[in-house]
Amino acid sequence: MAITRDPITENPGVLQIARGSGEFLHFTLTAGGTLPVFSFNSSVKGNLFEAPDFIGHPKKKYAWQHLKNPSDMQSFELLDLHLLFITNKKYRYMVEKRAEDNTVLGTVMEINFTGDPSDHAAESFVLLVS
Amino acid sequence: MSRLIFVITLSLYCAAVGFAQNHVDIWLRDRIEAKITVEANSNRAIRQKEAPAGEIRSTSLVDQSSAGEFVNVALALAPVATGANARAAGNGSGSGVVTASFYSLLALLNKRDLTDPEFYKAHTSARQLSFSLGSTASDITKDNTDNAGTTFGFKFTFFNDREIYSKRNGQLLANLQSKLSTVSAIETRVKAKILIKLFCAHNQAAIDGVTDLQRSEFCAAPDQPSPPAALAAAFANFISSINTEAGFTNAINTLPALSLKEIDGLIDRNLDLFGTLRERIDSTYDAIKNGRQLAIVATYVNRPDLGTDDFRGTLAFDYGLSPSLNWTVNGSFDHRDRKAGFDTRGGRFATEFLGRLTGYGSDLWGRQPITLAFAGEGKWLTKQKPQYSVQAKLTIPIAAGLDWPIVYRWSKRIDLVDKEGKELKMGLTVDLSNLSQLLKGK
Repeated sequence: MAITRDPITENPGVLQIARGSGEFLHFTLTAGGTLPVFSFNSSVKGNLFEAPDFIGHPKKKYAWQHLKNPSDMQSFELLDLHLLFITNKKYRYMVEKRAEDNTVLGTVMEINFTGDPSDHAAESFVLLVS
Repeated sequence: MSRLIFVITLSLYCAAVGFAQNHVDIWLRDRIEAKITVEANSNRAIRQKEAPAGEIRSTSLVDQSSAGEFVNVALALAPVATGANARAAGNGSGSGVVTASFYSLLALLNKRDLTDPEFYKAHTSARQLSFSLGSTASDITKDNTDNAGTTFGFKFTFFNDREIYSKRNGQLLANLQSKLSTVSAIETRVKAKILIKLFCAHNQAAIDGVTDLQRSEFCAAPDQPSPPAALAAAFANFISSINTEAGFTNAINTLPALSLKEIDGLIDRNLDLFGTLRERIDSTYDAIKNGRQLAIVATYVNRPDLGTDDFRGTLAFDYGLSPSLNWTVNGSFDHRDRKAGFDTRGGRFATEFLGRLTGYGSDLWGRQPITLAFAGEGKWLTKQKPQYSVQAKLTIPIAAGLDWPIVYRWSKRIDLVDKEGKELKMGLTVDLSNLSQLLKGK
């Protein structure tokens, strides 16, 4: 186990969003290796995305959104990214809060990970929609 | 007792990684994962970075089936003679060989990062081929000239079980991705339940403010929890409060025994499943790392004037006996073209066991492990008596991208000289890709 986690903007642990505000979350995962292996999960809906779901996989940058679709709205949800390093040594994970018109309202977190091939990292936060 | 164990484990882990984060992530990962220390996926330590074995001053007695993926420079430093016949083994000026994979040249021409995922996948076949070009020292006794020769070489790895985009490894990695998605989704759910359990255990006053039904529904930590509106603010505050090492440790330390037991129960119910992911990661890693490789290697040394030219064609096979031990076998055809005398031809057999003594660093482009290799070689050429050599080689990484191989070689008979020879050789290998990445600050 030799995961190095280098936060540029630290994970706040919890994020609250007002229902009906149109705000949503924009996720970016940048790979620094040859074949990223990852999974993005919701505690309510289970697995939301995995690396092969993205067109062009394997690629350098993966981006997705959450809360754009009204069915994403849960009053309590843990959003959890799982990373494997077996064929990809480095990742940069960034979450932004954006307005309905796609304007960036702020960076929720931005973290660099470096790991060994046997490593498995997870990064989660609670999303509360009220 | 179990509280003590997991507080200690958490503290050790936090101290080791030196960061603050959502501590339930650390804690749960650490609870699930056994202390397994398997190494980096990179095969770079057992890829040949030295000059081809056919090059007289090479510090390698065998040719491995895969060259460096990118660009390497091998410099043979002047050997330290330890036997009367060391000179006959090639004691002229030092040699130098540059080896570049076709892939690295393509990446350079296309101005792409060497590890760009799209480019890496699209040019799998380009990593099968590498070229060598360099200068080879000559010795008047053996080569009929003192002037350095020119070395040309290529290596084609036509069978490679260590290539991540091979059909076999593609399936292994697809299965691993699938396992990760399945297991991590359950882990996420368990993590959410742990947070709810922690909240309910530590916020009695807040949960007393909601109805019994609401409290029992939420604190039972169902699969789709919906905190009562009256609890939302308290819940958010609590999650924020445990988002530090001190806060999380305190929440664990003051957890009632019953709540701790409930949380442990949540983990234990899924422990077998979590263990299958760990097993899958390790088995996938081992299968790729220990894969077989087969390559053809050709080396031609052209010497000026009436100097002897050398040609060697080799079939090289590699097999990972374990993630830290690689076995290489060579079978070769050698031809010495003596412009001023008789030619010799014949066969050669060589084998090497290369062990990694240290692990990989956390930096992809960082210093490589220390390795120790034992090798033996036999040559049976026409018009000459058989020649046998054995050697031990210790390779010490001096810095990222710079390795220092030290070789002690004993030869039963050196080429035309019917006497024993002993040599202490030293070299320097430079991984230009490492250096360029470091200079780019990656």
